[in-house]
Amino acid sequence: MGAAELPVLPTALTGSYPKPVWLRALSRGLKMYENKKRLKLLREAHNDAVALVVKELEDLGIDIPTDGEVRRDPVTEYLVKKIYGFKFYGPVRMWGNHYVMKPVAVDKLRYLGPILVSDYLHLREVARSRIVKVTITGPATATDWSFNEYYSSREELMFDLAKIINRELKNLEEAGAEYVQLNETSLLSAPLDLESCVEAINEAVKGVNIKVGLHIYGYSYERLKPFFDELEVSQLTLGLAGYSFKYLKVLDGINKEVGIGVVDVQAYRVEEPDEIIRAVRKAMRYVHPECIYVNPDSGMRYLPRAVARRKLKSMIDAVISLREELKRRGLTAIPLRRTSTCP
Amino acid sequence: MGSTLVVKAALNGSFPRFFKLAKLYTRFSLGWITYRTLESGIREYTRKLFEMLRGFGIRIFTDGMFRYDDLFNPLIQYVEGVEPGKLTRFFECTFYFKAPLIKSRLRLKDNVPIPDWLHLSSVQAGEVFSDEYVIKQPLPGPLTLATFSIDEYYHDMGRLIHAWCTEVLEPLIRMILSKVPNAVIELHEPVLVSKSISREVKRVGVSEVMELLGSLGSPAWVMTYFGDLGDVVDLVGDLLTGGKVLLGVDYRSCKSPLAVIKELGVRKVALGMIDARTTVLEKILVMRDEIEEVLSLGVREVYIGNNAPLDPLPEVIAVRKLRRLGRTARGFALLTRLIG
Repeated sequence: MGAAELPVLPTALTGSYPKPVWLRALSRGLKMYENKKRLKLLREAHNDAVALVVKELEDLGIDIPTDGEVRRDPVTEYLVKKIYGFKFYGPVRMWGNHYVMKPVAVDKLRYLGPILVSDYLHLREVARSRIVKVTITGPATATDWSFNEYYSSREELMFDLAKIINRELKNLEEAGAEYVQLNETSLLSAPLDLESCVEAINEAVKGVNIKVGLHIYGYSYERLKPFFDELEVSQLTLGLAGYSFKYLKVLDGINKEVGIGVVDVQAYRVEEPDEIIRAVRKAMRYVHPECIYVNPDSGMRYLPRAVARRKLKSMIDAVISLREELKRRGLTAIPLRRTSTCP
Repeated sequence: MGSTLVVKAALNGSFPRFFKLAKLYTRFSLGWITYRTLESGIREYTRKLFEMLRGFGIRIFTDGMFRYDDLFNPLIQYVEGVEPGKLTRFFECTFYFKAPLIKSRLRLKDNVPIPDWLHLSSVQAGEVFSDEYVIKQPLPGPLTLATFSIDEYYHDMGRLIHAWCTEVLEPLIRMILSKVPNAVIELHEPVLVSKSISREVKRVGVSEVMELLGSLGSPAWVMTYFGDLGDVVDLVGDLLTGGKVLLGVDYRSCKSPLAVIKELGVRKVALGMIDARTTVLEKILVMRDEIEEVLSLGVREVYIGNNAPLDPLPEVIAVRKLRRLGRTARGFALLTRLIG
């Protein structure tokens, strides 16, 4: 397959999208069934929800949809269910009334087989878009969101997770995926040595020949800047809108493709297209437009669906306007890059 | 207490909000249940916590902070000039809170319900514990409040710490103590041992806490956690003059807790022996040895507890850890009785 082409300033979903209300209600209702039947019905419902979300994203004009992560609970539960060595003690409070199933490493971890391949194949089947993105939690964030009762250090746990993620990425590549993204939202805040985290990320992507993005979120991007060149990923996806674009300057001198977060996923206020246009123009001072993707700051899971939709509409309106400007400069399309540098 | 040795177990800060109670909160926020139903749920789960603590022999406790989203919320909802800001990570825990966003001058609102909530919990505690018990009211300390605030008004750390102290904490604590006179105030000051804050700011914080607690004249616990107290032992020493303040030492984060306790020369101390960051259960025998070492320094009163709020733990683990804490303290009580 030749290199896929995308419109300049491709728009992508960063990761999650609000789950349809009926899916939540249905999940509760299915509790009455025995496990096998329940899982079968849930799988069908999830497939329908993915089809719905992808259609909604594509109708809005998103170039690169994900499956909205509608099958998943936050962070790590989906990932570790197919890894031997983890167990759960029950829900753990994350904030307010939001809980996650935080796994506990109780034995040497072992990859039990593909985790996301069937999800990818379904996404590929229902999406009209040429390129779709598969997201997976990265080794540092997966470590941060796990308890450790087995390994002598959290770093040791992280490197075993990196090896498992590497096998999963290779399986996704074999299944035909062209674009995966490691979600490393804890990278800058986890109590882990940053240099080791970068090594673990590189271990996770070693020998993977498809486009790999790295999504990070936080305010201390400057800490990671010394490692930008070392990271063997094709794109850095940063949340910037939530910090009023204060940290855009971190992009100065970067020689990587970047995904710029232009809508805040923690606020219900819908950004005006003009604000987004200004931010992207500012980013273009540091990064060539050929190397910029446009996306929300992070996962949109916690937003009401109508708000998420309106935010994405604003983002797309802004990008349409910017593309007109770039068209006058003769820039209309970019290739799907797999390299770790850009341009 | 004279020379009698006291080793007691305590619940400090929060107990993980029961998952079913969280569901009630969600249903209330969606308008599916009335406030009365939610309130009845909160009381039911508070009672459940108290009964569990009684079973474990823990008679010094908070009400689990079930009405709180985190250390700062909903307190900041009852403060003029503040809005809940961005979700921010609580130190190294995978637990997040909404940081106070300071928009204008701070002032405690008149309708703050915290004293009433403590009063309700105190009544329930009285029903569950027929004999001696101590109920504590956890509050964020001024240094911690100021450090986690996003300040768009004061633009000066010293003024902000002072404002949190005088405009919010002092009137609030007075209200609490007038409603529940025997309550113990539990000030959380983890920032005091945080490496990212300068000594100068910490010095200002300590001096404000001293002034605050001095003006109130009531006993208080000052909890420090997730850092090495050894770095600020000279600063915290000032807090302990007067004997009204019990210092919380995070035994799991402090590099040399014994050296710190020795240097402080305290007769009573709260030891954070249960680590709120790990599911690994602390061993009773190890805790006993550690307590004996502390007692050998001349400390007469040791209050063993969790080092930090228990929110980041699964409920089942929090229960197991508290049970072990109770057993450890009971073992000492038995020993003291036998020795006479």
